Amino acid sequence: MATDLTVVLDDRAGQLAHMGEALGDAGVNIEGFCATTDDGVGIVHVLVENAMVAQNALILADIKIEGEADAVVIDLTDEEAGRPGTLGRVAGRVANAGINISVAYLATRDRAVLVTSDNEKAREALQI
Amino acid sequence: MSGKLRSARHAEEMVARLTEAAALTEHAPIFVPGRSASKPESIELATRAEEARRLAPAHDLTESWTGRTPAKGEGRGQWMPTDLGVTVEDRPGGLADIGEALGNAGINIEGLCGMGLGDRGVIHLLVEDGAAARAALEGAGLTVESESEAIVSEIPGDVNTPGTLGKMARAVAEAGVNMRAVYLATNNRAVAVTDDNAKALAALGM
Repeated sequence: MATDLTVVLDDRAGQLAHMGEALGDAGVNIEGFCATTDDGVGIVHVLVENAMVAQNALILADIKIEGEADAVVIDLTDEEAGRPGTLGRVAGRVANAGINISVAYLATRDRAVLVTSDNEKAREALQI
Repeated sequence: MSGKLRSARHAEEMVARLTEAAALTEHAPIFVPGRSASKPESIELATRAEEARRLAPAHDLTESWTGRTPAKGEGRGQWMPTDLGVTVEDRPGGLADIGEALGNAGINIEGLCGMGLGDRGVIHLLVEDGAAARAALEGAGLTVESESEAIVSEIPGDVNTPGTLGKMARAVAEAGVNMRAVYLATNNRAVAVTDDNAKALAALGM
Protein backbone atom coordinates (compact mmCIF):
# COMPACT_ATOMS: atom_id res chain seq x y z
CA MET A 1 0.00 0.00 0.00
CA ALA A 2 1.31 3.40 -0.94
CA THR A 3 1.79 5.82 1.92
CA ASP A 4 2.23 9.57 1.91
CA LEU A 5 4.69 10.79 4.52
CA THR A 6 4.82 14.44 5.53
CA VAL A 7 8.28 15.64 6.48
CA VAL A 8 9.19 19.08 7.75
CA LEU A 9 12.72 20.35 7.05
CA ASP A 10 14.63 23.52 7.84
CA ASP A 11 14.52 25.75 4.79
CA ARG A 12 18.21 25.68 3.97
CA ALA A 13 20.43 24.14 1.35
CA GLY A 14 21.19 20.48 1.97
CA GLN A 15 18.11 19.46 3.96
CA LEU A 16 16.32 17.91 1.02
CA ALA A 17 19.51 16.12 0.01
CA HIS A 18 19.83 14.78 3.55
CA MET A 19 16.32 13.38 3.37
CA GLY A 20 16.85 11.89 -0.09
CA GLU A 21 20.08 10.26 1.00
CA ALA A 22 18.52 8.83 4.17
CA LEU A 23 15.84 7.10 2.11
CA GLY A 24 18.21 6.12 -0.68
CA ASP A 25 20.73 4.60 1.72
CA ALA A 26 17.94 2.53 3.26
CA GLY A 27 16.96 1.27 -0.17
CA VAL A 28 13.64 3.10 -0.11
CA ASN A 29 12.54 4.36 -3.49
CA ILE A 30 10.68 7.65 -3.65
CA GLU A 31 7.69 6.92 -5.82
CA GLY A 32 6.25 10.42 -5.74
CA PHE A 33 7.38 13.70 -4.41
CA CYS A 34 6.18 17.22 -3.68
CA ALA A 35 8.13 19.82 -1.74
CA THR A 36 7.55 23.49 -1.13
CA THR A 37 8.73 26.12 1.28
CA ASP A 38 6.42 28.06 3.54
CA ASP A 39 7.22 30.47 6.31
CA GLY A 40 10.82 29.38 6.82
CA VAL A 41 10.30 25.64 6.64
CA GLY A 42 10.33 23.10 3.86
CA ILE A 43 7.30 20.84 3.73
CA VAL A 44 7.81 17.62 1.84
CA HIS A 45 5.39 14.90 0.83
CA VAL A 46 6.92 11.62 -0.24
CA LEU A 47 5.11 8.59 -1.55
CA VAL A 48 6.66 5.31 -0.48
CA GLU A 49 5.66 1.68 -0.74
CA ASN A 50 6.96 0.57 2.63
CA ALA A 51 6.15 3.23 5.20
CA MET A 52 7.76 1.36 8.08
CA VAL A 53 11.19 1.13 6.46
CA ALA A 54 10.97 4.74 5.28
CA GLN A 55 10.02 6.01 8.72
CA ASN A 56 12.83 4.14 10.40
CA ALA A 57 15.32 5.56 7.91
CA LEU A 58 14.07 9.11 8.48
CA ILE A 59 14.04 8.79 12.26
CA LEU A 60 17.60 7.45 12.24
CA ALA A 61 18.62 10.49 10.16
CA ASP A 62 16.96 12.85 12.68
CA ILE A 63 14.31 13.93 10.22
CA LYS A 64 10.97 14.93 11.62
CA ILE A 65 7.94 13.06 10.30
CA GLU A 66 4.84 15.17 10.68
CA GLY A 67 2.29 12.81 9.26
CA GLU A 68 1.54 9.50 7.63
CA ALA A 69 -1.49 8.93 5.44
CA ASP A 70 -2.89 6.31 3.14
CA ALA A 71 -2.66 7.72 -0.39
CA VAL A 72 -5.01 7.33 -3.32
CA VAL A 73 -2.83 6.54 -6.33
CA ILE A 74 -4.31 6.97 -9.78
CA ASP A 75 -2.66 5.53 -12.87
CA LEU A 76 -2.96 8.03 -15.68
CA THR A 77 -3.02 6.85 -19.26
CA ASP A 78 -0.65 8.54 -21.72
CA GLU A 79 -3.68 10.35 -23.05
CA GLU A 80 -4.79 11.55 -19.63
CA ALA A 81 -1.29 12.74 -18.77
CA GLY A 82 -0.97 14.70 -21.98
CA ARG A 83 -4.46 16.10 -22.37
CA PRO A 84 -5.72 19.31 -20.76
CA GLY A 85 -8.58 18.85 -18.31
CA THR A 86 -7.54 15.70 -16.47
CA LEU A 87 -6.92 17.41 -13.13
CA GLY A 88 -10.23 19.24 -13.38
CA ARG A 89 -12.05 15.99 -14.04
CA VAL A 90 -10.33 13.98 -11.30
CA ALA A 91 -10.50 16.73 -8.67
CA GLY A 92 -14.05 17.61 -9.74
CA ARG A 93 -15.28 14.07 -9.14
CA VAL A 94 -13.73 14.03 -5.69
CA ALA A 95 -15.10 17.48 -4.85
CA ASN A 96 -18.58 16.53 -6.03
CA ALA A 97 -18.55 13.67 -3.54
CA GLY A 98 -17.97 16.30 -0.83
CA ILE A 99 -14.43 15.14 -0.17
CA ASN A 100 -11.57 17.54 0.52
CA ILE A 101 -8.19 16.94 -1.12
CA SER A 102 -5.44 17.92 1.29
CA VAL A 103 -2.48 16.86 -0.83
CA ALA A 104 -2.14 16.29 -4.58
CA TYR A 105 0.98 15.54 -6.57
CA LEU A 106 2.46 13.37 -9.26
CA ALA A 107 4.44 10.19 -8.92
CA THR A 108 6.75 8.47 -11.38
CA ARG A 109 5.26 6.52 -14.28
CA ASP A 110 2.46 9.06 -14.72
CA ARG A 111 0.62 8.46 -11.50
CA ALA A 112 -1.37 11.03 -9.57
CA VAL A 113 -1.38 10.92 -5.78
CA LEU A 114 -4.14 12.28 -3.56
CA VAL A 115 -4.53 12.42 0.19
CA THR A 116 -8.13 13.16 1.01
CA SER A 117 -10.52 13.54 3.93
CA ASP A 118 -12.10 10.21 2.96
CA ASN A 119 -9.97 8.02 0.72
CA GLU A 120 -12.50 5.22 0.55
CA LYS A 121 -15.17 7.55 -0.81
CA ALA A 122 -12.64 9.19 -3.10
CA ARG A 123 -11.72 5.83 -4.64
CA GLU A 124 -15.40 5.14 -5.11
CA ALA A 125 -15.94 8.50 -6.80
CA LEU A 126 -12.97 7.82 -9.09
CA GLN A 127 -14.02 4.21 -9.65
CA ILE A 128 -10.61 2.82 -8.77
CA MET B 1 6.28 7.50 -25.04
CA SER B 2 6.99 3.93 -26.03
CA GLY B 3 4.61 4.38 -28.92
CA LYS B 4 7.28 6.47 -30.56
CA LEU B 5 9.64 3.52 -30.65
CA ARG B 6 8.22 2.27 -33.86
CA SER B 7 10.59 -0.59 -34.28
CA ALA B 8 13.44 -2.30 -32.51
CA ARG B 9 15.81 -0.87 -35.10
CA HIS B 10 14.51 2.62 -34.48
CA ALA B 11 15.01 2.08 -30.77
CA GLU B 12 18.56 0.86 -31.24
CA GLU B 13 19.37 3.79 -33.45
CA MET B 14 17.94 6.17 -30.89
CA VAL B 15 19.92 4.64 -28.05
CA ALA B 16 23.11 4.90 -30.06
CA ARG B 17 22.50 8.55 -30.88
CA LEU B 18 21.50 9.43 -27.33
CA THR B 19 24.59 7.67 -26.02
CA GLU B 20 26.71 9.73 -28.37
CA ALA B 21 24.95 12.87 -27.20
CA ALA B 22 25.35 11.85 -23.58
CA ALA B 23 29.08 11.39 -24.03
CA LEU B 24 29.27 15.01 -25.13
CA THR B 25 27.47 16.27 -22.06
CA GLU B 26 29.27 13.75 -19.83
CA HIS B 27 25.90 12.73 -18.36
CA ALA B 28 22.70 11.04 -19.30
CA PRO B 29 20.85 13.07 -21.93
CA ILE B 30 19.84 16.27 -20.23
CA PHE B 31 18.25 19.44 -21.34
CA VAL B 32 18.71 23.15 -21.09
CA PRO B 33 15.63 25.37 -20.93
CA GLY B 34 15.54 27.74 -23.89
CA ARG B 35 16.07 30.95 -21.95
CA SER B 36 19.34 29.91 -20.39
CA ALA B 37 20.87 29.67 -23.84
CA SER B 38 20.80 33.46 -24.09
CA LYS B 39 22.53 34.03 -20.75
CA PRO B 40 26.27 34.67 -21.08
CA GLU B 41 27.24 32.28 -18.27
CA SER B 42 25.44 29.47 -20.06
CA ILE B 43 27.17 29.80 -23.38
CA GLU B 44 29.30 26.73 -22.89
CA LEU B 45 26.35 24.71 -21.62
CA ALA B 46 24.25 25.96 -24.49
CA THR B 47 26.88 24.93 -26.99
CA ARG B 48 27.02 21.45 -25.53
CA ALA B 49 23.24 21.27 -25.54
CA GLU B 50 23.18 22.37 -29.18
CA GLU B 51 25.62 19.62 -30.00
CA ALA B 52 23.43 17.13 -28.14
CA ARG B 53 20.38 18.35 -30.02
CA ARG B 54 22.18 18.00 -33.34
CA LEU B 55 22.98 14.38 -32.60
CA ALA B 56 19.80 13.28 -30.87
CA PRO B 57 16.38 12.86 -32.47
CA ALA B 58 14.61 16.19 -32.05
CA HIS B 59 11.33 14.83 -30.78
CA ASP B 60 13.01 13.09 -27.84
CA LEU B 61 14.63 16.23 -26.55
CA THR B 62 11.48 18.21 -27.04
CA GLU B 63 9.31 15.63 -25.42
CA SER B 64 11.57 15.42 -22.43
CA TRP B 65 10.56 18.79 -21.17
CA THR B 66 7.26 19.53 -22.79
CA GLY B 67 5.54 16.18 -22.59
CA ARG B 68 4.44 16.26 -26.20
CA THR B 69 5.75 16.21 -29.71
CA PRO B 70 5.71 19.61 -31.40
CA ALA B 71 3.40 20.41 -34.24
CA LYS B 72 5.17 21.08 -37.51
CA GLY B 73 6.68 24.54 -37.58
CA GLU B 74 6.63 25.06 -33.82
CA GLY B 75 9.95 26.22 -32.44
CA ARG B 76 11.31 24.74 -29.26
CA GLY B 77 12.49 28.16 -28.09
CA GLN B 78 8.99 29.47 -27.51
CA TRP B 79 8.34 26.90 -24.78
CA MET B 80 9.36 28.01 -21.39
CA PRO B 81 8.63 25.62 -18.56
CA THR B 82 7.01 27.84 -15.96
CA ASP B 83 6.12 27.13 -12.36
CA LEU B 84 3.03 28.94 -11.15
CA GLY B 85 2.28 29.18 -7.44
CA VAL B 86 -1.45 29.37 -6.83
CA THR B 87 -3.22 29.80 -3.50
CA VAL B 88 -6.75 28.56 -2.95
CA GLU B 89 -9.06 28.18 0.02
CA ASP B 90 -8.61 24.71 1.51
CA ARG B 91 -12.08 23.35 0.77
CA PRO B 92 -13.61 20.73 -1.53
CA GLY B 93 -13.37 21.99 -5.08
CA GLY B 94 -10.34 24.26 -4.74
CA LEU B 95 -8.13 22.00 -6.82
CA ALA B 96 -10.95 21.27 -9.26
CA ASP B 97 -11.32 25.02 -9.89
CA ILE B 98 -7.69 25.19 -10.99
CA GLY B 99 -7.91 22.06 -13.11
CA GLU B 100 -11.08 23.20 -14.82
CA ALA B 101 -9.83 26.74 -15.49
CA LEU B 102 -6.72 25.40 -17.21
CA GLY B 103 -8.50 22.51 -18.90
CA ASN B 104 -11.11 24.83 -20.38
CA ALA B 105 -8.33 27.01 -21.75
CA GLY B 106 -6.71 23.97 -23.36
CA ILE B 107 -3.66 24.16 -21.11
CA ASN B 108 -2.12 20.90 -19.97
CA ILE B 109 -0.74 20.61 -16.45
CA GLU B 110 2.69 19.05 -16.89
CA GLY B 111 3.58 18.86 -13.21
CA LEU B 112 1.70 19.30 -9.95
CA CYS B 113 2.45 19.74 -6.27
CA GLY B 114 -0.33 20.91 -4.00
CA MET B 115 -0.84 20.78 -0.27
CA GLY B 116 -3.11 22.23 2.37
CA LEU B 117 -1.29 24.50 4.78
CA GLY B 118 -3.66 25.61 7.51
CA ASP B 119 -6.73 27.19 5.93
CA ARG B 120 -5.27 27.52 2.45
CA GLY B 121 -3.99 25.28 -0.26
CA VAL B 122 -0.66 26.08 -1.93
CA ILE B 123 -0.34 24.60 -5.38
CA HIS B 124 2.61 24.56 -7.76
CA LEU B 125 1.85 23.84 -11.39
CA LEU B 126 4.22 23.29 -14.27
CA VAL B 127 2.93 24.65 -17.56
CA GLU B 128 4.47 25.38 -20.94
CA ASP B 129 2.98 28.83 -21.36
CA GLY B 130 3.02 30.72 -18.08
CA ALA B 131 1.28 33.82 -19.41
CA ALA B 132 -1.64 31.89 -20.93
CA ALA B 133 -2.04 29.79 -17.78
CA ARG B 134 -1.94 32.84 -15.55
CA ALA B 135 -4.58 34.54 -17.69
CA ALA B 136 -6.84 31.46 -17.51
CA LEU B 137 -6.46 31.17 -13.74
CA GLU B 138 -6.98 34.86 -13.07
CA GLY B 139 -9.91 34.84 -15.45
CA ALA B 140 -11.49 32.20 -13.21
CA GLY B 141 -10.96 34.42 -10.16
CA LEU B 142 -7.96 32.48 -8.83
CA THR B 143 -4.89 34.08 -7.28
CA VAL B 144 -1.52 33.42 -8.88
CA GLU B 145 1.07 34.16 -6.20
CA SER B 146 4.22 33.49 -8.16
CA GLU B 147 5.52 32.78 -11.63
CA SER B 148 9.02 31.38 -12.03
CA GLU B 149 11.12 29.79 -14.69
CA ALA B 150 11.49 26.15 -13.70
CA ILE B 151 14.25 23.64 -14.24
CA VAL B 152 12.83 20.49 -15.79
CA SER B 153 14.80 17.30 -16.27
CA GLU B 154 14.09 13.71 -16.99
CA ILE B 155 14.83 11.64 -13.91
CA PRO B 156 18.18 10.07 -14.75
CA GLY B 157 18.38 6.30 -14.78
CA ASP B 158 15.70 3.95 -13.56
CA VAL B 159 12.87 5.59 -11.63
CA ASN B 160 12.72 2.51 -9.41
CA THR B 161 16.28 2.90 -8.18
CA PRO B 162 16.55 4.48 -4.72
CA GLY B 163 18.90 7.41 -4.16
CA THR B 164 18.29 9.66 -7.16
CA LEU B 165 16.70 12.52 -5.23
CA GLY B 166 19.53 12.50 -2.72
CA LYS B 167 22.15 12.73 -5.46
CA MET B 168 20.43 15.51 -7.40
CA ALA B 169 19.54 17.55 -4.32
CA ARG B 170 23.08 17.14 -2.93
CA ALA B 171 24.62 18.48 -6.13
CA VAL B 172 22.38 21.55 -6.03
CA ALA B 173 22.95 22.10 -2.29
CA GLU B 174 26.71 21.91 -2.68
CA ALA B 175 26.50 24.72 -5.21
CA GLY B 176 24.87 26.80 -2.46
CA VAL B 177 21.56 27.01 -4.30
CA ASN B 178 18.25 26.95 -2.44
CA MET B 179 15.23 25.22 -3.90
CA ARG B 180 11.84 26.79 -3.31
CA ALA B 181 9.81 23.96 -4.77
CA VAL B 182 10.67 20.51 -6.08
CA TYR B 183 8.18 18.09 -7.55
CA LEU B 184 7.50 15.60 -10.30
CA ALA B 185 5.98 16.06 -13.71
CA THR B 186 4.51 13.63 -16.22
CA ASN B 187 6.82 11.38 -18.28
CA ASN B 188 9.13 10.82 -15.30
CA ARG B 189 10.40 14.36 -15.12
CA ALA B 190 11.57 16.30 -12.08
CA VAL B 191 10.89 20.01 -11.61
CA ALA B 192 12.80 22.47 -9.44
CA VAL B 193 12.27 26.14 -8.69
CA THR B 194 15.50 27.56 -7.34
CA ASP B 195 16.95 30.93 -6.34
CA ASP B 196 19.67 30.53 -9.00
CA ASN B 197 18.70 28.36 -11.95
CA ALA B 198 21.95 28.93 -13.85
CA LYS B 199 24.02 27.70 -10.93
CA ALA B 200 21.67 24.80 -10.28
CA LEU B 201 21.81 23.74 -13.94
CA ALA B 202 25.58 23.82 -13.87
CA ALA B 203 25.64 21.78 -10.66
CA LEU B 204 23.38 19.17 -12.27
CA GLY B 205 25.65 19.04 -15.29
CA MET B 206 22.98 20.62 -17.46
